[in-house]
Amino acid sequence: MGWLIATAIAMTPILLGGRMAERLATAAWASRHPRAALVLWQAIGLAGGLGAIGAGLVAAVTVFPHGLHQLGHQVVDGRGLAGLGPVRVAALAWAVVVPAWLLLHTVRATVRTVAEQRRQRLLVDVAAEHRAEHDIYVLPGSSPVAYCVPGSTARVVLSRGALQLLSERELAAVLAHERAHARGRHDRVLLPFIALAGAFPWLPAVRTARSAVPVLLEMIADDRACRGRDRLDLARAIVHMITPGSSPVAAAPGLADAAVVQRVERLLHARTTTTRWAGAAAYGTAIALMMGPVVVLAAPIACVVIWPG
Amino acid sequence: MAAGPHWAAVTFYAVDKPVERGARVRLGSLERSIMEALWEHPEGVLAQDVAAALTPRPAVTTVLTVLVRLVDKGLVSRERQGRAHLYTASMSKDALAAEAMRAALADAGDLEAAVNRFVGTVPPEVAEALRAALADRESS
Repeated sequence: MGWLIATAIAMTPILLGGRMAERLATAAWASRHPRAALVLWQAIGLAGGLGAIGAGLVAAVTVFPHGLHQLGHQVVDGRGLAGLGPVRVAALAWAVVVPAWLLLHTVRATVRTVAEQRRQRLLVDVAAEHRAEHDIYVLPGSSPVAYCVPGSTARVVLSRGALQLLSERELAAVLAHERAHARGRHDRVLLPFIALAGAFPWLPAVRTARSAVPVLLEMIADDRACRGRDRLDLARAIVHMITPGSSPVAAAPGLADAAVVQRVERLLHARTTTTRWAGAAAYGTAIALMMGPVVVLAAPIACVVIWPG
Repeated sequence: MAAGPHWAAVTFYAVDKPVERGARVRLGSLERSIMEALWEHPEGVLAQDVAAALTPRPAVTTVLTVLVRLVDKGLVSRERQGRAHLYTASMSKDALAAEAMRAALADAGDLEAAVNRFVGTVPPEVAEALRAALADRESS
């Protein structure tokens, strides 16, 4: 009975994750509180991962949490997995394989991203011209392009076409947006979701998170860029910088388009109602989600501390 | 590395635009100066000639270190000539700029975290709708 409850607690984020993910990705409050929505995504991801590990551990032992504690002693004493049936051994293997698989994909995604960032930095250093007044790198090219290569020495890059297109105030807004990405290390925020999508591409919640998080990061950078600035400057910059027509029907065009539309919409129309409770509710839910898996994983440790031997 | 001070000196002075006194030392400009030297000599140059072409003159070992890195990244190719290597730029300046631009425009997929784009490409009708929404707001 004990382990059933524990499994249920551990698995809750996974079971809720799918439905919550879809609601969260399309929620109107998320675009008003992108930071809270991002924290909720991170909580869902973390709680889901920990829950999957916890569920495996719980299923492997008969009485929770003492069973886990006994199993720990048994392994340390060199008696291995003696007395465990095949189902329990499988559950234990699951608890080991899931984190290992996740770790593998995290390392892979990180290594590939860092290598690509290095390559991009080198290309920019060699091909672009540095302008000290704005600390930007300018590429020769008429199509309007602005981007940032994140890293400890981030580079904000614009094409000559973009510089011609933007007014001084719009340029300032674009630079503030890109610097917000660089300073917030949004690349590091996104990486775990890319790794998760690589590890479990068949889970709908994971795919939803993978496409929703970049949109939230754009909104967070937009909000940061608009501090002490007219929101219309950034809206104008986005509309001017859009390169129409050349769209080579992307992998998920729907969401990418929706993201730009949403970004412009929220910049054009000042927040009508500031629903403070929405942010608080999101942070509260994030904490609640984390509780179950953390308790399930922490219980055996507490058990060892309280009843040693 | 003994070449350290040269590196700093080179990165400071080799900037192609005049920089205010006390400006932050810019990273990566040695790479750029070396590439410029290679683009001026499409027939190929020796590492010591590259070093000699730069002011102030960096240590040849420093230039070699950067050249090896550029070869690894595919920006430079080398050819054995006697006991030394002859270095040539494997891409023209324009091609390199185009490559950097492509990175900013292409759909990055799994490498999305490597570059933050300001806006992506959208279908013409979406661009038109956004332009209309902005015009609407500006006139109100």
